[in-house]
Amino acid sequence: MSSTEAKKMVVLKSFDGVTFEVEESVAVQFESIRHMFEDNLAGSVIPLSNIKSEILSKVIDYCKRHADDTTDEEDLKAFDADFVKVEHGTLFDIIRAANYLNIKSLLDLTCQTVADMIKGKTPAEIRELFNISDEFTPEEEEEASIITRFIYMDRYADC
Amino acid sequence: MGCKPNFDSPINSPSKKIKFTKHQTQTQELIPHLPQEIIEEILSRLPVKSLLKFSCVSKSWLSLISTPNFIETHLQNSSHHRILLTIDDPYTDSPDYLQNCSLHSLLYNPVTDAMNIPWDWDEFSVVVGSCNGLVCIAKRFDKLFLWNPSTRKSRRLPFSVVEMFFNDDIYEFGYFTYGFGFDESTNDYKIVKYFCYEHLTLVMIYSFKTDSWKHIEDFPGRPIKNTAKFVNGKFYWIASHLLRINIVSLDIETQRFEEIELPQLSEPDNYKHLTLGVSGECLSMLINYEKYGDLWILKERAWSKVVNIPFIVDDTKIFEQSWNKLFTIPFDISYPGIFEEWTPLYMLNNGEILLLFGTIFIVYNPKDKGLRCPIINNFTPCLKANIYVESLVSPMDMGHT
Repeated sequence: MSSTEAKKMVVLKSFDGVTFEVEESVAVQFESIRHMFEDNLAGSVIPLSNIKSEILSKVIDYCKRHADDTTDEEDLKAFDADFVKVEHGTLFDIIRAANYLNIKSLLDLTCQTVADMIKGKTPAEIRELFNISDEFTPEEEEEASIITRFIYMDRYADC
Repeated sequence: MGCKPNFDSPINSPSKKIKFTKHQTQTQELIPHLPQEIIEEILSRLPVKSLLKFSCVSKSWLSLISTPNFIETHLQNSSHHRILLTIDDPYTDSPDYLQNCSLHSLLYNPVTDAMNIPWDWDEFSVVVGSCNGLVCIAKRFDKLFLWNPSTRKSRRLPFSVVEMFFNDDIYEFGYFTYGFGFDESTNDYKIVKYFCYEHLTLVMIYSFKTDSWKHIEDFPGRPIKNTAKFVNGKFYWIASHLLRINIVSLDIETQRFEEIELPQLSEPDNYKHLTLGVSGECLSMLINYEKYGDLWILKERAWSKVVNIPFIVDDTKIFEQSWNKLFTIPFDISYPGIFEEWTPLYMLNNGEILLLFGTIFIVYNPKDKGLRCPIINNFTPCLKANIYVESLVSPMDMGHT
């Protein structure tokens, strides 16, 4: 709070009722709710009914760091790498929040993290991990995997 | 920080919550039900190999992975580039003409593994170029194939009228050169073919949408290199016209040729080779003098100046401004491949340049003037290299879009 005068603030309220006061320069990264505070609703509270306080505070931290022009690229990379070192549940809550608020860079970062995490897994592990019930019948699956193996046999030698 | 994942979002029913909690004790990795759009975001960042493997996860994943929208999103996100290595020798009887390796590994790791790719090389083949993960290959000069090396799907393209009248003489003495590109204005892949036999020269363009060939205007002069480089909507050849060497471009959309003067060479009578390449979004040209090489790039902005002024090609002043000499690469005689061509393949964000230098790869750093040679295991020395991006784009169904 170096300059008390000009900084416009936006107030966000999480699912569990916690309010966060955020500088507008940080909140502009929340693409999907941008119109709400830009339409001169200054002072009013913007409810984010599907993001809980713990996740919202992380997301705000991320946006603060990314809005800061003085941070150099290496530091930002290190921050990002640290930022995604969380439990899977938290990571997925952040993805939902980033998707809901439409924060492109955060969605990129978190989805890439998950992609890197799952790329070496087997289809069975993926089904368990994503709790997928929309499965093939055993016959269909057999057929699908025979076709896949037939076409891409050499590529799967190492899987 | 010890926080329990929250499954109370409207998407999850209470029964789901119980199920998750039960599994949570067995594995920390359980992921709650995610909306389709997030699944799509995650899958679009996976390598092709993983996607093919995951197409048997569920029906909805299989159908998602096969939609044109997903294939397009995946292509835009794809950062997995590979180098296709070709042995450019028609007389070798080695069965493995094609190999590939990861571009990222070649650039950042001291040692990279090359893998053989099965391809039916029963006849001499040339890799024409690549676009959106598709590679165009010409067999026996005239048989064209479109191939996605990541999914292994390929399709033979039809002959044009010309080939119907071919005889052995033409294969012996005829001259073919090709270019492969993507026309963004019509979302269409196109192949340009230049054919010359005795006094007959022909330029034809193939469109995937119409699955047919069309005759276009004559080439100004004649191309003197085998395949065209495709950059930013234009094909480029090194060509000779009226006893002068210049660059000829062909706009994939308007199908008009233009001639471009070479830049002011430091030793106009003393260069060994000119080689075209791609650096970022620009055409680059490497001039190999005996003792050093100059890399030049052609800036797009300067190009746009001449698009609407045909026949201005003799006005060298316009073109002088458009060539930017990047730097001079010092020449070290101890490197093998000294008499070979240098091909600029790739420019990194930090300014480093990947070059194919004879039969070896070199990464040159203009800042500290350092050269390094990445090593490739299981590598048959290659003479040609093409970079392609891994994608799910199919060579089959383009004609029907």
